[in-house]
Amino acid sequence: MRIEFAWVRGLEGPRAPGVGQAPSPVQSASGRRGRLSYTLLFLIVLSVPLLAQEAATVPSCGDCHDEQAKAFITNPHGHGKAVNGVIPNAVCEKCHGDGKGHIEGGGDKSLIYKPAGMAGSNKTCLTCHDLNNDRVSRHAGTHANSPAVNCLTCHSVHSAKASPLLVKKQLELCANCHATQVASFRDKPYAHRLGRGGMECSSCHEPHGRPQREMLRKTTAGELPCVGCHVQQRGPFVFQHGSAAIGDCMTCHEPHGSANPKRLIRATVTQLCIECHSPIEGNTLGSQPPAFHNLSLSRYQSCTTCHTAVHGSNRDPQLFK
Amino acid sequence: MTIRRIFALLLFTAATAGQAQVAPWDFEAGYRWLNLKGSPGMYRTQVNEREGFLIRSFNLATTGPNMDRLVVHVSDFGTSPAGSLRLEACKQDLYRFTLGYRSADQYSIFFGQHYYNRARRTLDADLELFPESRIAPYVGYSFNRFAGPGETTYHFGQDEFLLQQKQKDIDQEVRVGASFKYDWVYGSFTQGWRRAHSTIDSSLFPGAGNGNNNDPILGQPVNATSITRHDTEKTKTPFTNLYVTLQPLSRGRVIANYVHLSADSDGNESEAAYGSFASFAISRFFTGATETATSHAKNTTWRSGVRGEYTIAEGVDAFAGYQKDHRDLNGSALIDTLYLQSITFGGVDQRDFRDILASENSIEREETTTSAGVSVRNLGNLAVRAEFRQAKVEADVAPDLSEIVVPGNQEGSFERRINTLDTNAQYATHGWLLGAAWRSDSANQPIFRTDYKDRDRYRLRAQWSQFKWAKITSVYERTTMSNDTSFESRVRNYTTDAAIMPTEGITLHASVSSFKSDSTISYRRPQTFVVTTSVHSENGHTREGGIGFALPHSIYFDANIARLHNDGTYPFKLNRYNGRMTFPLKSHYGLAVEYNKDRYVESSSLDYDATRWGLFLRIQ
Repeated sequence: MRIEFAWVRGLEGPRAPGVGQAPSPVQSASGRRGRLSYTLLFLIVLSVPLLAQEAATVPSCGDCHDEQAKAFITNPHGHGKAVNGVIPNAVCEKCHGDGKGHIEGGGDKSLIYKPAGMAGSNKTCLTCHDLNNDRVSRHAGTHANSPAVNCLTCHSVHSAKASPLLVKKQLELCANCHATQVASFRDKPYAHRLGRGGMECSSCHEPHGRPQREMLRKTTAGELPCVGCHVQQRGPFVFQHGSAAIGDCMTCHEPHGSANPKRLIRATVTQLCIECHSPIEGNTLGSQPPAFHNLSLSRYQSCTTCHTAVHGSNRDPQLFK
Repeated sequence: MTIRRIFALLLFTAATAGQAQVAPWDFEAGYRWLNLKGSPGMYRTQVNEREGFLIRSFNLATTGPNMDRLVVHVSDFGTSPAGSLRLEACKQDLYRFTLGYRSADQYSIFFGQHYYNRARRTLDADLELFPESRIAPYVGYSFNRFAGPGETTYHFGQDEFLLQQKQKDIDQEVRVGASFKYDWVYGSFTQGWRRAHSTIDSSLFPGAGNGNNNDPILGQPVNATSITRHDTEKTKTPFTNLYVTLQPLSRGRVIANYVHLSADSDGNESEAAYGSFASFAISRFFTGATETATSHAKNTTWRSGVRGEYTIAEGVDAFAGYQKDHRDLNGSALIDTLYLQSITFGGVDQRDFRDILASENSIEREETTTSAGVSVRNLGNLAVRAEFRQAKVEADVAPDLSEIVVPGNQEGSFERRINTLDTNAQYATHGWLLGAAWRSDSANQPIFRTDYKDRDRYRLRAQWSQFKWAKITSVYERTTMSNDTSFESRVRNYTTDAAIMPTEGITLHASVSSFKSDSTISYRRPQTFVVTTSVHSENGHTREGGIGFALPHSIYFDANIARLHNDGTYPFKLNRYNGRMTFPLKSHYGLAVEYNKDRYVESSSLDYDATRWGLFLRIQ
């Protein structure tokens, strides 16, 4: 029979190399069950203060790493593991290996394992977080663990500046590599408001995803993330604009920052429309406007003055309303 | 959720935190003043930071009764165009709860006479029970409200009239499901139900009865004395998704997915218009019209696929997949229009004239994607990745009655195959990070005229960082597209960011970026049938620089200047100046002062110069 104290339960799962044993369990031999149970309970009650005294003689990691230990209580890796407000050494040792030599060596840094780079991510992070599902791939993804980009490039367990354990705020972090995209958000006049107010790069992109479709997230119903917020464009409509039904939002819109109103890919709406609605050669989708659309008159220079329901309409085949 | 409710929630969580063992938290709120010169419409379209009270931030991370972790992040509630609240609470082995609330005030004055000033409020809440167990059930709820006034134009009776609008869209979603993990099988199942309700009320804008066209139609003046429209739409969307990963071997795994949604939409519309109008469709003048429309639309979409991944050796993975997406859109509408007191263009045959339009539409789209690739990440400091994908898109568009009015090219069957080669390489050594990516797409034919037939995308990246005191990143991206319909497009982006920390507490940063976009395509002028060229050009340059330093006594200062010049087809300039200083008053109290200025120059009517000052109290 083996009894574990509650705080040991959270330490299940794979361990880093060199991780020490969990604290000694109280053991008992078998015998007559009823009497033994009472005896065992009595012994447990007696042993608690003894064990507590013994534990007090073993230095805690938090004795030296005070700030990190305090902060770790609210760290996702410290969930439910604190005992009387103290993170047990075994929790630290899961990633840093056996700390006995480090403690006995007076804090000798060479005697403790500090995860770093691709190897560090493999030995620590990915022993638990090697999840591979439809959204995420730690092996086939663009950001799969490599010397250039690994878990610890973006995440910091002890010095996180943003959730989820990111080394910087998301916009600054992604700018490390995706500087043109971040500059587009930061500089252009028509852009989603990132960094302040809730939207982040990961609102639309799955950073651990596969490269198809620019690592875009999907709604719970499997749609593009755009309609997760812009629900009024989701439809379905009786008269659906072909560019939305056959293409997608990016047929007409630039989702990052744009120099054009409505984050369109062209500066004027007429130019955007007429480029498709000019079937000159080949078999392409999009009709030619009738001849009375005199583009030299201001009345016809903005298609959406009349065709207001450009995303789709339930009433009007010409998308007038 | 109003700002008062947010404020009450923050007080409650801060009070709760006070009972907890560890409660680091900070709070910043204050007032922002705005001095705006120029176009308020353009300013609100682009920036929309208004004057008033603002909760800049609230952050809390603590534990509590029945909570191993309680985290709250609040950002920019009040007179900010976007605010958010995120709350996470969990107890190991028992539950995990997340709540996200976002507000976004959306303002737009584009295009022409169109304008809206609407607010979006979204809420997402998810509760997962026994998250560590083999089967972890969960339930979730989402709410999305988009409402507010606007103005639009309405084409009716051979003229366009300005209408004022009130719109309210409410979208709610309930989902239940479970994630499961049993030995080498894990995944999740979700069944959800979404319900949307939209209402739009429109009426003639006061004084807009003459319409945009002052000229008579065939000698008859066209004007409106009254136009009212009422639209409602209800949509029900049940959806199902199932994701399963099988990992019988430590090296290999098979991942399967299935997603199905079926959206049913029912619409009703009523309209009444009075005045003097003309219609070429019925070749008559008329003094008014009433219209009722009922509609039904259905979207059935499913997506299914399987992919396999195999780890050949440590850091070497091969992968392949097959995915199919199917979308089926069907719509029908019955529109009953009664033209009142109509007479022929010749002035005879006065009567009410009824026109009934019954329309059936369908669009079917299927996309099949197969892919295979390899990722090698153990070549010393080098990592390379290559993947080949083939996508086949088939689309069938059924003709609708609009074909009768505007014949040609709105229906047909289309097929497009795209072969994609996607490669990238990254090399890291001694503070250097070098990357290169090339993606080449080759399609057999376009569906839309601006679809590429050949597309190449290049990305080069170099980064150098030396400890914490210096970092330089430079990225160059180029995309070229072309097809057989005379379409040519080039987009180039270049950005270099540099940051140095000459001494502890001082940071200098600078950024230079440019974006260039050029595209040409031929088009036919509707009025003359002459084929000409559409030219689009963007040529933007940004210079940005700033400084941040920490003074003694915990005083921090940040400032930056950014200047954007776009010299393309429609040139503009945008200059931005930002400064922020924080300093403590007592050990737990401090002040923050902010200065922001945006100056936009395009044309005299749309230019603006907006200066904001903010004073915020900080508590931590």
